[in-house]
Amino acid sequence: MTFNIIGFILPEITIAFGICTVILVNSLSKKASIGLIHSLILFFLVLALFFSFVSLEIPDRIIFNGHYMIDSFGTNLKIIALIAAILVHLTSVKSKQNIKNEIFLVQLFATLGVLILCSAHNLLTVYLGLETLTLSMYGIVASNRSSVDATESAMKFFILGAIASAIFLYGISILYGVTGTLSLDSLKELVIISSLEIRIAVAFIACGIIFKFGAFPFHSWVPDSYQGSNTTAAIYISSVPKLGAFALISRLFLDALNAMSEFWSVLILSAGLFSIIIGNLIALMQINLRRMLAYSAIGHIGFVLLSFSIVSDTGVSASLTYLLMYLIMTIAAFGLIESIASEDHQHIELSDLKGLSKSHPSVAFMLLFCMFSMVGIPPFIGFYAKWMVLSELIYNDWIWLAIIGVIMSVIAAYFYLRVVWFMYFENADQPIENKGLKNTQSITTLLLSLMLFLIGLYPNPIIDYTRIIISSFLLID
Amino acid sequence: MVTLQSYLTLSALVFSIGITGIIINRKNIIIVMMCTELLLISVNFNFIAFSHQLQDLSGQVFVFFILTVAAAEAAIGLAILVALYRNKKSISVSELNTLRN
Repeated sequence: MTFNIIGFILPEITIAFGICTVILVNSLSKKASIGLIHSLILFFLVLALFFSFVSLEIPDRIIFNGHYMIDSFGTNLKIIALIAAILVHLTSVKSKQNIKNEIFLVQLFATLGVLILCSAHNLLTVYLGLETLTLSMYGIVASNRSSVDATESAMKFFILGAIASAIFLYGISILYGVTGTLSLDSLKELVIISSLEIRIAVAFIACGIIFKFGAFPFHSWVPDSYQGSNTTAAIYISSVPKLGAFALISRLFLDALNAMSEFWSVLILSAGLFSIIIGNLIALMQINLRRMLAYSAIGHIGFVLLSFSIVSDTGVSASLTYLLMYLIMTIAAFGLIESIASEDHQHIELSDLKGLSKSHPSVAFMLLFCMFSMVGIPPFIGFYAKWMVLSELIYNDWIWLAIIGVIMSVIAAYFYLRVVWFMYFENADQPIENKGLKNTQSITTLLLSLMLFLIGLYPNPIIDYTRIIISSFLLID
Repeated sequence: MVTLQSYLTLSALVFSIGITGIIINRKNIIIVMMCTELLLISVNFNFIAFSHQLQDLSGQVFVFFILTVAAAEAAIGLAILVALYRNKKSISVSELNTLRN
């Protein structure tokens, strides 16, 4: 019987075992070759992915006295998160001097946190998974500990994160006081009418979730940590944790607090709307490439939240589709930036991209794909992502929101296309010299750029996949 | 007899003191960290008061987990603070401003 229960959580156990192994190998062998660590981490991620595919066969069940839920929604999110973690790992593999092995280890911890969040079915488990993720994210941002910028951004991130998690906890405590339970199942039965206390609790919990997404009122850590840390850290924190946040918002709001949907959808809606406006407008003024991508990420997350706040089957699946396509775009873009950043020149300004099309034609061409996709130019996936969200908004008679979304996308085209302008139509003052892409990196970025294009030509598999995930999740209700 | 209401008022007061301390402090990051601990302590007050009121143990179990996580969080925060001090030779909040355009 005990063996059976362990069989259900094999992906998490694999990652936890991998963490222990990597710590041992890293500390026992004096000169642990960076290649060995990388292949170990990759091995455990792929093994966990395999076990997640296996556990798709398991029928839905609740284990560990209601603390953990194995269902197809959680398992599918785990599969997506592990694939994203593998892609992030492959794009950031590089034998740089100033990047220590520890950052990859801490990334494994964060991945474990995301996996726990995907299955958590009790407020206690939700909190523990969230903190596993958040605490490792502080470590990831601070990993370049000899740099002033990295430590400063980590400190800011830490203070904001501590406030956000405390507010989130305060909300949970009020919810516990009103309903007397921590289980999400009982919460769904007990929270029926919206009283003032429950509204306060929901608003507080929403703060924590919005912080994890990096959306409007709690967005200020995003640009700082993307700019201050190194690109390896930025690839990770821009991609995998967003899936954890999506799991969190679905489990807590869409499932447990569904009776309060009229109240929280307004909160999520306004957070999303202001994120789109603020993210895209401030991105216009940025000259640092990573900081610009950070503000553009805030804008993208705004679309995800906007479509989530429709609270319907199709709206939520459009939101997940947008998130998946955003993940592909952001991993590709940051992977390419990583490949042109040299060791002592981590802060890439937009003007450094001048003449990139002549010095590195392939990198420039792939970055062109990413930028076109982020603008939302038709054959690329970014177009389908925006189109799905906007059509859902119009279908639900929120025409004004759709119009604001379109206007902001047009404004966003300016700063994305400025990157293309610098790469193709300006001549370099001093060309970027570097050793170019490493093997795994070039294969992964090429794969991602092809996905940007091919999925854009034939987006149905991804759209159907997210529909299946979300409808299976809402069917449980 | 101390009522539930007084516990909740105390907890709300401690929470507000924590938030205010973080916002108005411009000098010292260590004080900011103390304020984040205050925030978590006020949540613990809430949980224990509710747990006693409802005669339900899970709230008190939650408090133990919060204490553990708070310790880990303080350790990470202090580690970041030490690294920051080595780089900047200062732990003043108002000097955390190099990341601008």
